[in-house]
Amino acid sequence: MGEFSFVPFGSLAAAARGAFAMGPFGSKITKENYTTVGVPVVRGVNLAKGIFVDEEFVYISHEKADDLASANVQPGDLIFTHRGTIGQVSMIPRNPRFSRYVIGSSQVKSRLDESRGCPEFYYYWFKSQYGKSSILAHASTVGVPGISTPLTSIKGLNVPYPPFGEQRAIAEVLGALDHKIALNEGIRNTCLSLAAACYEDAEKGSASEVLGDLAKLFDGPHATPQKTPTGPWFLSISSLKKGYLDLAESAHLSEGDFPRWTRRVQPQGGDVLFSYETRLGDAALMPPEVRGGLGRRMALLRSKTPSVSGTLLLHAYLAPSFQEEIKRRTIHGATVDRLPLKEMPGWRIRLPVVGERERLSAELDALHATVMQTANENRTLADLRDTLLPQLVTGKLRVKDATRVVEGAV
Amino acid sequence: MNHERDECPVPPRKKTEPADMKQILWQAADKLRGSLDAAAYKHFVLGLVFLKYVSAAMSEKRAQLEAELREEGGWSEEDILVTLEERREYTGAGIFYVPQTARWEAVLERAGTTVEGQTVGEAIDAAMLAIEAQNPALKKTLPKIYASGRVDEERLVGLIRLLDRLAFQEQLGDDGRRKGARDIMGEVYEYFLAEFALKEGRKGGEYFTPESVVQLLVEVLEPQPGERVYDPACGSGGMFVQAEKFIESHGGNPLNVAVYGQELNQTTWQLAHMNLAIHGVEANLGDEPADTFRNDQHPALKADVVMANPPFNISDWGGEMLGMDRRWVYGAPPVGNANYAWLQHMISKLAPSGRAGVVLANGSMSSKQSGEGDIRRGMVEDDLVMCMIALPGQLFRSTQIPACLWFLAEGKGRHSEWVRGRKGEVLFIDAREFGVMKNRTLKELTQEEIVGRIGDVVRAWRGAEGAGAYEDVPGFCASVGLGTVAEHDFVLTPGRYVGTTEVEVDPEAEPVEAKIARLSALLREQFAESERLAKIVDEQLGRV
Repeated sequence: MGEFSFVPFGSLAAAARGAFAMGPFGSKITKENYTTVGVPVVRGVNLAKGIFVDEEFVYISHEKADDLASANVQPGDLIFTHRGTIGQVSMIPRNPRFSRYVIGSSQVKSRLDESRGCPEFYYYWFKSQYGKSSILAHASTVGVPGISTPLTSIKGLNVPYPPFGEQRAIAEVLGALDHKIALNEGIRNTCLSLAAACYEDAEKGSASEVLGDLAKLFDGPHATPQKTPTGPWFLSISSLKKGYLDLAESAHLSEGDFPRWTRRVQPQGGDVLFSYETRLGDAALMPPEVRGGLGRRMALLRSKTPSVSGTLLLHAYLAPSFQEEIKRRTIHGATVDRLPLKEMPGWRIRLPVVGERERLSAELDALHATVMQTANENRTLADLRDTLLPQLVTGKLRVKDATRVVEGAV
Repeated sequence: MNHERDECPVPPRKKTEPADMKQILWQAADKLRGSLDAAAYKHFVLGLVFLKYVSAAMSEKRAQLEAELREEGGWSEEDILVTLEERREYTGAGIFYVPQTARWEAVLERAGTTVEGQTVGEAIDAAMLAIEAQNPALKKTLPKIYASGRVDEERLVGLIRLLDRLAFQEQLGDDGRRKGARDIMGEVYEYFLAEFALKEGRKGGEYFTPESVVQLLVEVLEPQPGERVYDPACGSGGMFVQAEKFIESHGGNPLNVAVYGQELNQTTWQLAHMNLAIHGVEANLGDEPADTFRNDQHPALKADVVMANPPFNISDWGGEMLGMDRRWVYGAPPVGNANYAWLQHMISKLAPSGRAGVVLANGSMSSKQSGEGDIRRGMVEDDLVMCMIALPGQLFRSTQIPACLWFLAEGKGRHSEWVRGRKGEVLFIDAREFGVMKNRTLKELTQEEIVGRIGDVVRAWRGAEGAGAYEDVPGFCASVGLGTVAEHDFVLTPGRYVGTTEVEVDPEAEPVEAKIARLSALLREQFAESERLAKIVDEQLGRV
C-alpha cells in the first residue's frame, strides 16, 4: 500500500457559508467590546499548547458575537494562527466549557465536511512536521511574521486524503495517547495539591528549626554549559513547577562536560532544588532516576537526617510560612532579586512535630512517587506519539484494522 | 474678583483653575519648542517666568508703598516718584529691585512693536543683566541666552505673550487663604520643573525628587526655625522649599532658617537660585556650581539638618582621584559607586545632634561589594543609623529602580535632644506596600501615609513631645538592637526586621480537612480513569 493521495484543504470544507473564514478585522473587536461575561474570544494564549486551552479568555457580548457570524466557531473547528506564531494550529474540543466561541483577528477557522474530513486527523496532520512546513511555506517575510493572503493560502494547502475510516482510526490512536497524557497531568496536579494540603494539616502543631541543622545547602555552577541535544539533563529555573521537576522543555549537556558542571554538587534523588535569583520561592524534588546537573542560579538542599525526608523538606520549603521568610529575606538588587545563599542555613523553617514527621513523610513519598510515575509515563507516551504521528498521518505506517472497517462498510 | 470674594469666602470654582492655568501654559509653551532640547528650553522658559515674577512682586510692593506714602501725606508727587524708585525700599523687604527698563511690562511692550535696533532677545538679556547689577544675590544666576538666535524672534514674542497670561495678582488658594504672587509663582515654578523633569528623562543620572518623597523626608527630619539646613546635591532646590513650607505650616518663621546647598550642573545651579528667590528662600549655594566631593563650597559647615537625593549609583564620581580623604572615616568608598561617598560626606557635615535624610537606591542597604559592607558596618556600630524606610516602586518618574530612605542621627540616645532613649537601636519601616497610583505608571504616597503613619511612628519612636508610645507593628515597623543588625550581617533592608503581618485566614477558603477528602476522592477517580485509558492506549497501539 502506498502513501496517501493529496487534495487541497479547502475542498474538504463544510457546505455552510463561511466554513473557512478569517477572524474579524482588528477594528471590529476593540477593547471597548470586551465584557466580563459573554462569548469567549479565542486568542493566541488559547492555542499556544496545541491542545486547546479552554480558559484565560476575554469576552464579548452575544449581540457582538452575532454581528461577527463568520468568526463564530464550534466543536471540531480547526483554528490557525495567521499572524504572530504562525504554524500554530488548534481545535475547539468536542466537549468545550462554553456553548460558543469567537476567534480573534489573527486567526483563521476551518470547518470540515465531517463525512469526508475528520478534524482530529487534520489537527494531527498540521501538528506533524510536514503539515507545519506546508503552512510555513506561505509565510510572509515582511514585518510581523504572518501568512500572506491567509484564507486563500490555507484553503490551498495540500493535505493527505485517506478514506474517512482510516482518518478516524489514526485520530483514535493518537488521541488515546494524548488523553492519557492529559489525565496524567491531572493526576500529577491532584497529587501535588493533596501533598500540600496534607503538609498544611500536619504543620498545625509545628516546630521551628534552623534550616542548616536539617539540611546541607549546595550552590550550583556559576556559568552555563554548552547545551546538547542528548546527554544528562540540564536543570534550569524554568523546570521548577511548584514542587515538580518538569523536564518537558529542559535541555541537556554533554557527558564530557558533566563532571565539570557537577563538581560542586551532583543532584541526587530526594534533593530539594530551588533557584536563588530572578524567580524566587519555587522548588522541586529531584527524582531518583534522573541524572542531571544544576543550571546557573540554582542551588539545592540535601537532608542531613533520616527523620527529615526530601519530600518533607520540599513541602516545608513551599509552605506559606517559609515563603514569607523568603520574601522577607530577599535582597532587592538593582537588576534582580536574590536570596543570600550564605545566610540561608541560619534561617528558621517550620516542620511538623517530631512524632508526626514519619507518618507524613510516608504519605508525601507515596504522592510524589505517583507524580514521578506519571511524569515517566508521560515522557514515554509523548515519545511514542511523536514517533507515530508523522508515520501515521503520511500513511507510511497504517492502522491495521482501519481498512478492514472501511472494507466492511462498503 | 474682590467683591466676589467678599460674598463668597470659599469660591467653589477656584479649586481647579490654577492647575488648568498651569497645564494650558505648559501645553502652549511646549508647542513653541523646536530648536532647543528640553534641558535648554527649561532654562529659557523659567528665566522668563522669573522675570515676570520679580516684576510682579515689585509692582505689588510698589503699589503698597505708594498707598502708604499718600496715606501718610505731606509728600510731593516728585518725592513720591523718587521714593518709589528707591532700591533700598525693596531689597530691605526681601524683594528684588527691578529697574524700569528691565520690567516685564517694558519687555512686553518691546515685543509688541517692530522698531529697528535692539531685538527682543537683546532687550531680555539686557534686562537680566540690569537685575543682576541691582541685586548682588542674583549675580551670575540669571540666563542671558535670549539673543543667541537659537529661538527666533517670532517664537520668542509668542512665548512672552503666553507667559503674560500668568496671573500673579492676589488670589484665594484651595484652603481659602490668600495667596500672593510668591505662592502662585512658586507653584507654577514647581509644576514646570516637574514637567520638564518628565520631558528630560533620566539624563545624567539626575532624578527629580517627587514631592511626596521630599515631604516624607521633611516630615521625619522636622527642620526647626533657626536651624542650618544643607543639601549637598540640591538640584533646583526643591528640598529647601519643602523644608520652609514645613516650618511655616508648623507656625515657625521660614525666613529664620539658614540654607546651604551645592550643585554641580551650571544651569541647574542657576535654576536653583531663581527657584529659591521665587519662594523667598535665602540660600547660600556656594560661589559657583561645583563638585561636592572635590570642591566643597561649605568646608566649615556643620548642619543641623542634611537632606538630599543624590544621583543614584553614579560611577564616574572621580573617586579614584580622591583616594584617602578625611571624610572617609569608615573606609574609602568604591571608585565605581558614589553611594557611600555621599553618606560619609553627609556624616562629616553633621553638627552635634544633627540629623540627615537621604534618598538612595535599594542596593545601598545590602551591598557588600568593594568594601561597602564594611563602611555600612562601621556606621551602624557607631550608632549613626537612625531609621531605614523601604519605599514602594514607581514613585519616580524617570526610573523604575526601587529606592529607600536612610536617616542618620548624631548622638542618638546619648546627648541628642532629638532622639531620646534609643541608644543602640535602629527603626526599620517597610512602606513597600504604601502609595496610590496617581496615573497608569506613577505612584504617590498619600498625606495620611506620610504624616499619619510614618511621621507619627518616627515621632513616637524618637520620644518627641506629645507623640505617644512607640510599638512595633508586625509587617510595618520594628525597633531593633544593634546586636540583631549584626546577626543579619549589617544588611539594613527593613523587610528582614519588621516581620510579617499575620497571615489572615480567608473565611471563604476550603477547610484543609475537606480539601484533603475532596482531592483524595478525585485522585481515586483519576486512578480508575487512568486504568481505563491505559487499556485504551494498549488497544489502540495494538492496531498499529
